[in-house]
Amino acid sequence: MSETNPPDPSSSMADMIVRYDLAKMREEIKQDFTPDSGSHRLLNQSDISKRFKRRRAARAKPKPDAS
Amino acid sequence: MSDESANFTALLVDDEHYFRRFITQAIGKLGITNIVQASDGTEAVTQFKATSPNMVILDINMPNKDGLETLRDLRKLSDEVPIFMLTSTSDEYIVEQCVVDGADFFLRKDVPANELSAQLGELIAENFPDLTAATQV
Repeated sequence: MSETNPPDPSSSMADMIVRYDLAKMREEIKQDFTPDSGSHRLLNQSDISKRFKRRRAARAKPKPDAS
Repeated sequence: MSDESANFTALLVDDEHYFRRFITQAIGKLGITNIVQASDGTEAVTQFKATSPNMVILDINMPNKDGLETLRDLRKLSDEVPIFMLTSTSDEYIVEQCVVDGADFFLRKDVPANELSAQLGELIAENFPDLTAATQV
């Protein structure tokens, strides 16, 4: 009588787990939400602040003396 | 009241009266008590011409004339007065438009009240150091 080993349940369970690359998914979502795609991205406050840095720096710079 | 804050006028433009009240209290604690209010862009332009404010806090979503159109109109009148956009809109396109049209900063108002007060305080301290130094004395 031949004896066959049943499949290891732990390995078959491991095979069913889909391993998502979360960072990659986030990057793809970012790419999807662009003005070109018709949907605009919503920005958080730190992203917004970066966009205004240049203007604020220019304003802070003293104007050259006209005399 | 110090001379700096006595001579300082803020123009606050928002169609929501409860929000104007909140901002009035928040910047009032920083020593800014001369606050002229407007509930839409048309009124804002009129008040701007009449009062020559030192700074403007401007909402975007308003009836009649929205904040972006108002920003452009105010910039035609003055390129010097700091204009801070304060809105619950955080759409990238709108933010970019505000940068292009000459806003000085953009604060989201859909944040907790204490966070917004703190951000306003930092913004005013950064832009008007003499004013905030005077209120701390």
